[in-house]
Amino acid sequence: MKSSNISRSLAAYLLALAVIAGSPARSAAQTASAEASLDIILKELSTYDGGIDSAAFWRLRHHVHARLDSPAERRQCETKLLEFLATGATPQAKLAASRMLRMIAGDRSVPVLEPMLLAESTADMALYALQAIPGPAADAALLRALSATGGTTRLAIIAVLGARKNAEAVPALAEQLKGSRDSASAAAFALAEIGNEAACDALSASLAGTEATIRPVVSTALLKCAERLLAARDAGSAGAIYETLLDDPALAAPIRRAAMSGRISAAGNQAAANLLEQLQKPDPEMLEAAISMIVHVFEPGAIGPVCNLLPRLPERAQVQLVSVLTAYPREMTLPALLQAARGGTEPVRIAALQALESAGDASATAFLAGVAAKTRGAEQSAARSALARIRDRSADEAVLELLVAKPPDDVLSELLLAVAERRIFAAKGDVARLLGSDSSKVRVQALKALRTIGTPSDIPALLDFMLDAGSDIERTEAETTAAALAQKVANPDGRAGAVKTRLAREKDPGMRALLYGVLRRIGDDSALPLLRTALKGSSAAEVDAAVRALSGWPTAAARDDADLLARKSRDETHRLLALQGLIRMIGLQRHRKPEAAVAELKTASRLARRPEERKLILGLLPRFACPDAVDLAKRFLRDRAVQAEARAALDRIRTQLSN
Amino acid sequence: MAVAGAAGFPMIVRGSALGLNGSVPASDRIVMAGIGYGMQGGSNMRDFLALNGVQWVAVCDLDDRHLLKAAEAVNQKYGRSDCATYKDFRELFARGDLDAVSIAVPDHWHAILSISAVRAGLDVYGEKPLTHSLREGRALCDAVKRYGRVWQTGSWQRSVDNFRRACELVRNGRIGRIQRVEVGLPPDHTDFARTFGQEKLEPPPPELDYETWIGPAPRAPYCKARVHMNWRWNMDYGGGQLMDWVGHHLDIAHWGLGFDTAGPVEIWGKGEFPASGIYNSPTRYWVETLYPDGTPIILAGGFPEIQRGTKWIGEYGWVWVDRGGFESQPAHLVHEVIGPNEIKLYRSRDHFQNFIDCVRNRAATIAPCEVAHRSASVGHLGVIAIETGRRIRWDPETETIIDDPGAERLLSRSYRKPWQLPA
Repeated sequence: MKSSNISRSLAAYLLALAVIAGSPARSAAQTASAEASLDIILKELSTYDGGIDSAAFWRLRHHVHARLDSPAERRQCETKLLEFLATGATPQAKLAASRMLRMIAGDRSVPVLEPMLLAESTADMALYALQAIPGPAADAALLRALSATGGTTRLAIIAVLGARKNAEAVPALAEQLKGSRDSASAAAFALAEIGNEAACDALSASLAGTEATIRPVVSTALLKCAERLLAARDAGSAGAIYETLLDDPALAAPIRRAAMSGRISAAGNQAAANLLEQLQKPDPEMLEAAISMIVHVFEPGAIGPVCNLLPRLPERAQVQLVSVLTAYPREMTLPALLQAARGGTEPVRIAALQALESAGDASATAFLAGVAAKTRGAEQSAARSALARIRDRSADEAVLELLVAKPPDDVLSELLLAVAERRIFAAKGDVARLLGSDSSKVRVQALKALRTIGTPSDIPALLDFMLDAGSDIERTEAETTAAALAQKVANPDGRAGAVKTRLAREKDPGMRALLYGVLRRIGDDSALPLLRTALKGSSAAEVDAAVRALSGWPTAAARDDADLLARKSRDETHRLLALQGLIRMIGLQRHRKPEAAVAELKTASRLARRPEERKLILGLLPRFACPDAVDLAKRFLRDRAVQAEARAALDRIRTQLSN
Repeated sequence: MAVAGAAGFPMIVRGSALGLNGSVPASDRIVMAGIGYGMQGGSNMRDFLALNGVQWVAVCDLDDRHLLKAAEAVNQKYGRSDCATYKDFRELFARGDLDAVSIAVPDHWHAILSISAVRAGLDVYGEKPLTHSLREGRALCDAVKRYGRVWQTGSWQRSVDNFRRACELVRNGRIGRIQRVEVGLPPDHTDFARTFGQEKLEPPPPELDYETWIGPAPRAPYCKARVHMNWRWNMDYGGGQLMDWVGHHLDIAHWGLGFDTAGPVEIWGKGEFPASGIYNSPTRYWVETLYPDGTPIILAGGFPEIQRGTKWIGEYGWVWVDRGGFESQPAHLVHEVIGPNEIKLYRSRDHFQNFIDCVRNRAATIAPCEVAHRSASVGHLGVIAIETGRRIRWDPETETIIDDPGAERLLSRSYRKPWQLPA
């Protein structure tokens, strides 16, 4: 780590500590714990009932935690806590003490805890502490208690012996395998946790003679043992266990599947052959697990025989295998995947198309564009996604070649979609030419593609296209594209340049009105004077477009214009548009003093004659949470048309203020 | 799908006999059940029920009220009255006709239930945090692998576009080498069940099997504040805000860094706790971690300087993402598109559909067990660092604490008798 990082992290950490240390609640508790002696704390704790009055428990916790790093003090705590366990304190109090012992107890605690194992009421407390004490003393105590206890306590001791991985306990645990169902289950799991050779032998030996209800438990324990053997490179022993389990038809499928997977893992250089054999068996129970094993067994260059199996498998297995094949080199899997995408059932086709996203290359582009053009729904979506995401640079060139090869319009549209998704900037010239296509669908798609791959230099041509467009859809798309390309101009005050130039030579009021719409979409504040001038013009179309542009202006720079229009406009539509714009623009200035924003909203509310605008104001108020906002929201409570919105706004404002 | 059920039970043909459910052939439906309806379980089930190809056949909960409400929701969905109800998960798993199960129970039950489920051959949608202790997490991952099951963690932010896009920007070097990551989580305790203060000890209500609810956790007397929803604030059953959210925002931090199967090498932290009451998870906390490549990740709850969500800070700027928020410096980064030849992360548009798709094609989900374990591990280690007050050194390969036997004790928990982690 760089030193600047260290110092920055350290500074933040120290700041955090300082803040925590300064907290009144924390410092009160800590001071109390520091001052009170453990005797006093334990006396207070002795009546703890597990409920709300837990201050003594917290003091104990702080007291012990503060001494974790001091062996002498830890030892002192241990002594006192052990003494406490022998008092008449409540069970909850003793439980609290034993949980502290879990953190600090050592061998000295064992003689005190061991007798507690023998009583049902204290066994849990003793086990909490004993489980964590390292070393043979605790192991021996637990083993002694195993034969001296029964019922659930014995089961818990068995579990703890397993959790401690106590190898000495194996013979005793093996005995328990012959006991009741509960004991045998607990012992099997414990032996699996220990997992050494002796534990595995004990489990294996018991398998044959175990009654049917216990066999699954012993079998799952053996699976875990076999994993340990495999990890220790004893594939022979592991394989033998897996074979035994796999050959037992009485065992449930999950166990047999796990055994089959394990057997293949243990088969070494025979694993691929074994798995291939398994994949060809008509056993649906095992097929799923076998397919899941493929990636662990087959090397990239050896996947061919598995690909050949694909069409012969049941549908569900084909779907699964297709997904697996994406992990392999495309030159090995592509023919099989293309075949599945062409000829499989619908789920298989969709899965194969999805697989082509990572396994496809340039050779798949024509096929994918064709599928995307002629299908709908999930299949189309998968084909489009694959065409857009194929990770092969030559796929871009393939798309370009197809684009100029005069394919059918539906296919052309899909290719244009891919051009945009893949950011094929080299396609710009061809895409621009397609604006002259006979097909409206192609023209719209070309406009969309240009939005991504075009540059500001394309704006004049787009404006020409927009002004000549024969349909609203194309006009809107052209406007959106021109505005999007203008955003690529680095200087915010230069984004409307091309539109201004066009306006300078455009005399037709209808066309000028359309260009005002583009200015609004661009939001270059340097164009505002132009719109203000248009408001004073004689053309109704231009005035209307200018009002709409100013009211819908994307920044707050047109706030005063909207305010003026909302107050003065004689046209009710214009007045409402401007008022809505004004409210929206007030909301855009998020970082002002909330009181100032609320004052403006209050003024705007006087112009709001309809509930619709009053609701807009209420919707904004929580953004500027302050007492003035509360007052303004309250005023609306008496207004039936917006009462619900006022209540919701008040709730949100109050929540924010309370935080 | 045809997969045999729990140990000792004969194979039963799956949902093919059940009608309903749109256009998906009956034999192709994923037959599911849910466990735990006191909090997230109901919402998860509704999301699954909305999907084509899912057949919900049973519900399981220890509280009769939750159980009946959940069954009613299922019956209403199908216009039938045959949704089975269970209080004992073992009986549910023994049905033998299930493909998958959705588990949304208190954290202290996660591992036992989940391992039991995968042993029974079920795929699992499980809530985060993955498990209640770090050792349980490893045991669960091993079991999921052993039985070849599909696992999806409820870290649904991975299936939201903004989170994936933010991670892709970071992974593709848009802000250069990462210098620091800040993960802002919520502070305090939230009164989800409106039972704060209801800590009067009383007999458990008859509709709740409290003995099983406590299960492997240490025995404690019943009070309303201890159980439904607010259990999260008591470390015997939950892990507080830190463990609740580590599976979201830290999970995203890991995703962006490519640390899905990695872990920190050093962890230290500090927390602030309540002075009394039955809740004992930190209300404010600050955890710092250091990863093997030198990247520090800070997790904090209750510190305004750490913005809620995930923020990667790099050489050339930063990227920040949260629910409903996605910003960057420089600002235009958030609009940048990742090209086809750059790193593209696993894309899921619907977390629940992703699980169902993977149950079908057996591929890994977007939030698999190992990934969830690695993000939860950071929370567990943070809790241990806070608990011990020491700097923890961690080996993420062997998953062991280095040279601190006291801290090592906290990697696992003891179970109250007779509960035991199955193999």
